[in-house]
Amino acid sequence: MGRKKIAAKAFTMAFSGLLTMVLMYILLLLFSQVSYLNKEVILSSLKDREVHFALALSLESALVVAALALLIGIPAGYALSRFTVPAKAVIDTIMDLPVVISPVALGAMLLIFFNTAPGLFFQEHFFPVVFNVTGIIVAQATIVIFLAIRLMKSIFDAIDPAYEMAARVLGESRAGAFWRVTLPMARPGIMATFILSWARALGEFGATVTLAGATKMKTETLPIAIYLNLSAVKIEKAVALVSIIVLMAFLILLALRLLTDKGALYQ
Amino acid sequence: MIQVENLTVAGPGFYLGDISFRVNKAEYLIILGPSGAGKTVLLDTLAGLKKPQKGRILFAGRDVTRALPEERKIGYIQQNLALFPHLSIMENITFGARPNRIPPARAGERARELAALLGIEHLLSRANPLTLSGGEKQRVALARTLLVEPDIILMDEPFSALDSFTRRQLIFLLPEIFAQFQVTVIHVTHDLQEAFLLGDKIAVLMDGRLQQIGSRDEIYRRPATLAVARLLLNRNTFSGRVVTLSTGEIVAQNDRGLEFRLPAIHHLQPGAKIHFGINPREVVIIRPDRPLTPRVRSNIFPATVRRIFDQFGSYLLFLDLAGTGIEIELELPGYIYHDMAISIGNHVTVSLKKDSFWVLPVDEEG
Repeated sequence: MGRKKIAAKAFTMAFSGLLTMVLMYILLLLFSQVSYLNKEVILSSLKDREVHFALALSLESALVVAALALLIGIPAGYALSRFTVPAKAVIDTIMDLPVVISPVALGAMLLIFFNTAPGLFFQEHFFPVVFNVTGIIVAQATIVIFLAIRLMKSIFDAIDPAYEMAARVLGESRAGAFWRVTLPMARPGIMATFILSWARALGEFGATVTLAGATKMKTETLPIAIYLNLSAVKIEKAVALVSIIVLMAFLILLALRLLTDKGALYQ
Repeated sequence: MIQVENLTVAGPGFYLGDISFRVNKAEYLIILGPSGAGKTVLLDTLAGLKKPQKGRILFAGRDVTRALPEERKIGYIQQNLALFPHLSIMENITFGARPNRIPPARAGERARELAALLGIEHLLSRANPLTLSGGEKQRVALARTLLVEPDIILMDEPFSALDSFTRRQLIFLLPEIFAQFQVTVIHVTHDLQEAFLLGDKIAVLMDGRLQQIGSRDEIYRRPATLAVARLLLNRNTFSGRVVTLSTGEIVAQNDRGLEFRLPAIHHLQPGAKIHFGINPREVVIIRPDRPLTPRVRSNIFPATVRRIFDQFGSYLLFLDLAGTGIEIELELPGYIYHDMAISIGNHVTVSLKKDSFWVLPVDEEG
């Protein structure tokens, strides 16, 4: 009995000890930045044009991308969840690729695509992409749209089709059942998808820098600004930018948790 | 009126083969069967949620086999009820108003009438259907369905999630309401009591096939297959052979050579293999102090009481028929049981009433 109790305690100690260590590690990382942050750094970075530019560009592009992701992710995710799709496993896997492969690889693919005939045609007749602000949106959207499709599919999967069936038997069309039943039931999930999409776009670096380039005050998003400032050994500015990113990530994750903890996803 | 002709539905994990039946207007059909028999598949197909491979479905003469669910003008109360969790009770009940072009004022008025009829007026102001009890949810689902005035209502195990009190209330309320609206009902259940309490007609569905359809009495007294007989708790089943045939009577022997007198059925020859059986409720204990009525004057056996189970209201007795090695079950109303002061080890005389037996020819292939 005594030995078993000690063994149980040791198990708990070992696992929770490990958890504590990882937590300490994150906190250590956060606090190591503090030595570079003083009042002057904070104040000057708050007034800095470059910081303003990077923040605004990041927020705007991420917002556009997240909106696009919902616009495409909701219907595509619904189709993937409800309709019979031929070769489902293969299609599902292809849809996962943009989220899984290295962003730099994806960026390289985009760069190469926009230098082939159809890509050049597109740039000529619609808008330029390569080394341009629009490239930021294209690069981020390529990843985030597929992420949103994946998320929305699992949200629709969790909503019992019996609700739609009930609506249709009561006389609603397929579209009517979607609008009046499935979509409102998915609302908390749609909000979560929006936030996650926005966050993913906000942090995107690899694909963005490869397609849109790292041009100061032109294609300079927050991550790119950090990269540029570190390269130029402007550590204080980099730390200020890092702090902005950390703070935003914290707020995003907190909002998400509050949103999903309401038990808002219906089964 | 519902007419189903040679309906075949197959898919991953389910199969319904060659189902044909008809239900007249305002009739209440029970589809009885064990779980996994294909009952829900049948309702889903009637509602248009599953597509049949073969066969036709007609509602009031109109072929709806290929019609969309929203074109069929039916009510379908699914087993999980599917009350919309994001809508209030009132919004749930009036949900069908919009697609059916019922003006909102009229829909609200009708919702209040239905709520009064179903005894759920006090719920109309409630916001969240998830907070309702099982019986309340059931009534809201019913009101939501009745609001669009369907001619046909399909119900999938409507009472399975309810406690016995609520169940009872609804069992007595439903036929009244459906009669008032003249709806044709198909109600799926695995519960015998529910089936006999509610069904004008009972259809027995097992392993994806319709075994029998008929009145309560036909199903109870003349099961069409051994499977139906077993489903109806005919635990006293025997197999044997016809010895002699005469008008109105078969003399048969079971496998152990015990002789039984059975009601005659068509197309039997002496020597034919048969199954026969009797429901435990039809077995009677003969009281020594009373004269034998003609009905019980055949198949009289001495027996010993082996085990007794109290079934709440009735008693189930397991008896050994003396010197035969056959065990039979007998269900006895509580008052007779107490009257006769039966206990384990008692020697009694039982009559397996001839006319209470069902007889089935044995399918030689089976």
